[in-house]
Amino acid sequence: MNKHDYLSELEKELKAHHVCDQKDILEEYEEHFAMRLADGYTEEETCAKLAGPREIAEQYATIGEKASKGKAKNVFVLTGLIFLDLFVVPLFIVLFSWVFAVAALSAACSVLGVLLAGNLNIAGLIPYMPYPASLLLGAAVLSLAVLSALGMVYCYSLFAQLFKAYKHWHKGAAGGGVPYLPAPHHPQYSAKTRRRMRNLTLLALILFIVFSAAALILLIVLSGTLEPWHLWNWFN
Amino acid sequence: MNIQYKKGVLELCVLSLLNRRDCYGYDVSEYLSKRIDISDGTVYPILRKLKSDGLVTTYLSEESGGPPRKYYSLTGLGKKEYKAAKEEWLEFSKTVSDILKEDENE
Repeated sequence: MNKHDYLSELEKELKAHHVCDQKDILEEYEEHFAMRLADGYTEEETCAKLAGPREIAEQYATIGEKASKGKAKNVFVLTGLIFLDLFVVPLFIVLFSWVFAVAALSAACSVLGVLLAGNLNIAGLIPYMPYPASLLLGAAVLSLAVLSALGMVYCYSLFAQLFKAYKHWHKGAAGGGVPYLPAPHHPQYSAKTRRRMRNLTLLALILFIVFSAAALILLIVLSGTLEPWHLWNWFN
Repeated sequence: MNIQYKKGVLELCVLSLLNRRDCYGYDVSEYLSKRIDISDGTVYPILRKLKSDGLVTTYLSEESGGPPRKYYSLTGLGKKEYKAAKEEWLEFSKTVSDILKEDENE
């Protein structure tokens, strides 16, 4: 018997015993194989040491019974859940609107950044600004666009994972026998993605600070006043 | 040893290990099978049961480079239950060994 035989046998037995969350369980055993292999055992040796798939499925089946008995689908629980949803669902709507708002910010920043950097003034919407300064300011706004896009991705992953955890909890509490997911404090990215996102965030932040400072200094120098926006009547 | 007999005791051993440090599933499995004669793979259902009873919880944690691993850790309830179960077991096992020793004196 090799890993594939064992796992497919186990899957069959789990199905036959109506065990919930089979995918999660199979993953646990897959990892067991991976760890044994890393310790220098063959798949066959690993199988030989494992208890039979039926025995394991039976062990899981006894847990399921208790879980469904323990969680009676009573009216109070369901009513409570509905009232809870009245608060929680709007909360998630607010959270996802926040993601949408940050996305809009990022989009607006990209457009503005391109307009400033390219010295394009469509319909005279952008107030007067000497060109080299507007290029720097455009670069700063573009960094802000990258920064807010990263923020949006981060928030979206976090909220989506929270929402998934809540959905699981909801199903479990309603008596579905669904096990709880861990509610993440921060999005669960792979180490590589996390590293990349962190570096990109840092880079965008530094560029934003450098370019904004440079643009401000240049504007002050060009206008000869500490408040160049008054000179060119930006806010009138 | 009889499997049914072992089950309750195994739960206690798992709780004891988790009381010391957070572990991933394979860690627990290896730790127990080194000391107690059980088949591999029987620890995972125990972990799941403890989780569904609210005694342990899981979280994902990344090792350097590898995929995220599921760690098990004791909840507040788990710590309380473990303490109580440990006391109970120690007292019970002492009584049993006292009883078993009595026949030597006769």
